[in-house]
Amino acid sequence: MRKNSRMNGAAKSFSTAIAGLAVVGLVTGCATADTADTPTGASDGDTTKSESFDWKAYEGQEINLLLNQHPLADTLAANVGDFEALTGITVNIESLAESDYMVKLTTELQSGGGSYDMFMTASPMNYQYAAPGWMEDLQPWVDDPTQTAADWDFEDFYPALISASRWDTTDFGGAGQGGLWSIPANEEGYALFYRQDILDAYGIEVPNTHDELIAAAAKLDGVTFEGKEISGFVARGDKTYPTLNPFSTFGGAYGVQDIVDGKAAVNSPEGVKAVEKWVELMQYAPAAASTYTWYEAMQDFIAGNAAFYIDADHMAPGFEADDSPIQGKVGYALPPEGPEGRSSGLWVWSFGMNEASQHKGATWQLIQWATSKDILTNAIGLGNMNPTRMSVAQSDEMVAATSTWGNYNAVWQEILAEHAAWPHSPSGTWTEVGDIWATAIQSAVLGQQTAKEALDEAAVKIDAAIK
Amino acid sequence: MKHSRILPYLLSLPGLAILVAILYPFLTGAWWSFTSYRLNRGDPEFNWGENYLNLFSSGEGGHALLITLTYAISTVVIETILGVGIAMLLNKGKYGNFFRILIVLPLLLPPVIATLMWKVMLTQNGLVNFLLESGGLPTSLWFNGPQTALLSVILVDVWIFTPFVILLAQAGLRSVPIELREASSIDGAGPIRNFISVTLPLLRPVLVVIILFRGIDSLKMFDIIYTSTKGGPIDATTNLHVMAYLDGIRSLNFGMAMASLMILWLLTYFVANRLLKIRRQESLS
Repeated sequence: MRKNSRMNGAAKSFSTAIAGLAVVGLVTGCATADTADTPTGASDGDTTKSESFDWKAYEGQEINLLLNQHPLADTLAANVGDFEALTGITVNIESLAESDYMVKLTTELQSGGGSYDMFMTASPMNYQYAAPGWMEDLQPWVDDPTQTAADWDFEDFYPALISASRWDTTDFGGAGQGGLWSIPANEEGYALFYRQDILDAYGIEVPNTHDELIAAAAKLDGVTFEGKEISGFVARGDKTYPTLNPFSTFGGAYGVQDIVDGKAAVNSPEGVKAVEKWVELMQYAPAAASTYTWYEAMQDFIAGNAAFYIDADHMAPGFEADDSPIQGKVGYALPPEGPEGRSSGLWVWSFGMNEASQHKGATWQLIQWATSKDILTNAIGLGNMNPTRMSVAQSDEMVAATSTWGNYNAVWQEILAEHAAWPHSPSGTWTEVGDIWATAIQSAVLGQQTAKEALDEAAVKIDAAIK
Repeated sequence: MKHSRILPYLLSLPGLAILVAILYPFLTGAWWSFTSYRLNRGDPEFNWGENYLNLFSSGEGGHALLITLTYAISTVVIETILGVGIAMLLNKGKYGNFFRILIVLPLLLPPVIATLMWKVMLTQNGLVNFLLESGGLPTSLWFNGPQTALLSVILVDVWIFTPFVILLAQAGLRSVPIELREASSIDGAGPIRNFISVTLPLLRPVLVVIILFRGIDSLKMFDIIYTSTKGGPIDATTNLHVMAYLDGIRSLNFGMAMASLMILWLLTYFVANRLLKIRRQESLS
């Protein structure tokens, strides 16, 4: 009996341990979310604030950056020594792959610990982080002449990009208004890439509309070009919200909205039509493309396997690199036209500040330095495109860097000026909404459901998520 | 010798600390599973079990449960049969020791690395499809196909963890007295009868341990699935653990994530409890 009861105890301890382990993985990363009340602007750094702007005002301080592995991060890392020499501030940089980066940043910000002072961010991340008060509103810093260099020139940024960085934290509204949560440092719109050499060989004109693109992709799908079997089209198709970026060239062109009057609208007639057209086009992509991320789709195009590709226009440096098999063979076109005209999503990699940072003054100095004309101009040579400042976009350096890339320089600027916008309703739950929508599109592309079935199911899930 | 009054309390402190360290996160998770807690939307508010209702009324919870069980049962059954079979061959053969060193190699790789390796080999234009095509066989979409993704992750699990079963089964087989097998052979039992009537009953305690370890591990599987498919395509490989991760870390919906994890805990607890009872009965008998 005694032995039995001891074993019972062991079994119970074991089971309890299993229970603890089952939840501890998620729990350990999450302290309480009580970071929202930290007073804006107050930090140790401010105690040394001077009467006029001085790059040495925060000399001796040390700040930590969490960055996504990206040409923007590479540019910063390559030049940060100059900033340290200029200011006397020590900068520590940690770069992670995108998915790891998002997870680590979220857990760090919600902990309110202030371990990282500055980070890379974009509109959907601002929506997740700004409402609970994890991000510093940068507008007061921009407006303060004692904190901002006179020649920094805030007005030089493209207004559309500044607008994409503002939000008044109202769910499903207030985009372009209220707080300025980040300063833009890298812009991407969505363009149609095509292989000029393949089109020439088969006598095909550059498509101008969705239907023309589908017809051209159908004609080229499966042809053998220079010993390689070509797919008509390629794009990312994985079940996460970034897939909506290239899809925005169809969604926007059909006038699709994600949320209307607080209810999901992805299954509207225009929403269904846009997905049906996208599915039609994706039939000419490799079968595995329905699970491709941007990286895999880009590699597929660079390897010379596809005739057409829709994705971020700033992938051009990869296509035109010296070791690229498609160097000099790529054409750049506006996103194809649909019933409501042309449309492009907009992704703006920007720099944001942790609200819990203890070195806000020093961090703001780094943000303004990293988004200054000099650094963004220098970044062109390091592949950080597209510039977020008008003066840099129109600079001789940009013209020189893209001189052998066909009409790239004109196309990206026209996309930004005429067609690109963040096309979704801002809210703290947007990433979940985007994931549900992208999963529905994937399901339709894979033929598991019709576009209507998949989007009707998605609408129910979105309504539950935004409740 | 006079004992200090405080001493018993002091001595119980480490045990109490461990208890708190285990129970606090567990109970916090259990509480959150009954709340509408989103990481970026204020404090947890009790919602009367709505998360559990949503999980099953939407069909997502049922689907994830089905994937969890399919994955766990398939991997345990395949790995146990393969592992015991290979262990018997190794114990018989002349080069058993050499092959044992070779066969244990997958187990030495971190599962994420092993999965990434297979992910590269199982792409549309990868090595495996190339070999299949060369042999005139049909190719597959593997991780990228809704019909083949679950089978692919199960195969990767089998590749990594069958060596673990082999090692335990080999140890178990060596504890089966050779005299018993010889006696049964003299009595006229063939190899199959010998295995079913002599080897298998004596191997039972080891089999329980194998099923216990692999069963719990497979029910909670995350790294192989997330690394290879992130739960997709669509939700073809979304088990309870991956669903909890997507809800909690990607969507910041900790209420829903914890509800999935509590269901996973209940399932794991039930399986572990049953197997431990069987093991206890084995020990007593």
